[in-house]
Amino acid sequence: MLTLLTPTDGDLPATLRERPPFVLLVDDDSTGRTTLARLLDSAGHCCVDVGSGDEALELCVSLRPVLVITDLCMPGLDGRGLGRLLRSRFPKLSLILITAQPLDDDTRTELLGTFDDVLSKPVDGDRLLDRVARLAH
Amino acid sequence: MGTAGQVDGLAGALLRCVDEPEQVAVIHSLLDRYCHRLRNRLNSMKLSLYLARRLSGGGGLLDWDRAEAASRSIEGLIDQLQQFCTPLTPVPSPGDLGDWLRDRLPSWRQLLAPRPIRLVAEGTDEPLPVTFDWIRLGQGLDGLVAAWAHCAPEEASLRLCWGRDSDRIVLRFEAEAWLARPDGEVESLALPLLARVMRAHRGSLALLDESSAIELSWPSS
Repeated sequence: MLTLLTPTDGDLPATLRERPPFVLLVDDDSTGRTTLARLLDSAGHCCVDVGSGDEALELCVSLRPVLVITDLCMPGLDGRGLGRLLRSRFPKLSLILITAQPLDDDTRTELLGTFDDVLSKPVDGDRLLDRVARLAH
Repeated sequence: MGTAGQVDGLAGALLRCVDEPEQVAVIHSLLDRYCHRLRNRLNSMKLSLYLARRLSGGGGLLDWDRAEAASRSIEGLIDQLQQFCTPLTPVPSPGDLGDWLRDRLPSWRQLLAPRPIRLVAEGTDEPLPVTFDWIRLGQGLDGLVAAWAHCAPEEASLRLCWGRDSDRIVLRFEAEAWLARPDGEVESLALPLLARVMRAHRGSLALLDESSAIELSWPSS
């Protein structure tokens, strides 16, 4: 697993430019982020994790993840805003939202207009790995 | 002793709040962030447990099923806490209480069967037309029965009766022993959740006969 806590600019090291397809994890909660990265890593998915929506946006411009998994509630650019920006810039990018907020049906439906899936915490491990396997390619 | 006074812990504290809706709003704001943190921590624990089980191939010294059941019970408590704090606006529709209860009985009996706990129904055969939010009533009673399914004494016997008492509809659960203080690892908030539903229908929830009976009642009109 590679952790990039500092936003990258266009001047990327060759090792990063040549890296295999990866999943970008976005969560301001470092414990949750690390746990998720370990799980995906164990299932064979290369992961990069960042702690804010702004970092994620900047990284997506420089590197191209195959899938972004983001938390909803974060300071600054939150998961909903990040999802909208990424969807408009990269229409084919797969997006999963994970949230600890209780969601009513209307809100969930609205979010599914942006994200490929919306998962509530605590997340079911089987479902998460299944969705990642389908979307991360 | 009042109904809330017969219930210990968080459930008792929340029962006291049901008659003061403004308290629910205060509790909501206090608990919202707390529940959010709990869900984040629980998410990490659940995924770590999942990964550990996956890597161990399900073997090792840990009782994985028991550990996952404990995680689910905490998740259920957080769900109930957030449900209690969510604004409740009933959507009433007409129906027959007896028919509705007879439809629910098989699933409740199935839930209680593993302990095994008997559920005997003794309702009136007369039509009992009622306007109620049946989804909310179902959620409340399902929660109560689920709590008993986990925590009531094994081989207990429950009696459910219903009918009209003057100008009120009455639904009553009875048992040989207490029904409100289940002896479980994680307490249930089913009683305050159900009490909120009753209040939203101008009804009430009461613990009677030293907590061996739970009576729900609301105006028939």
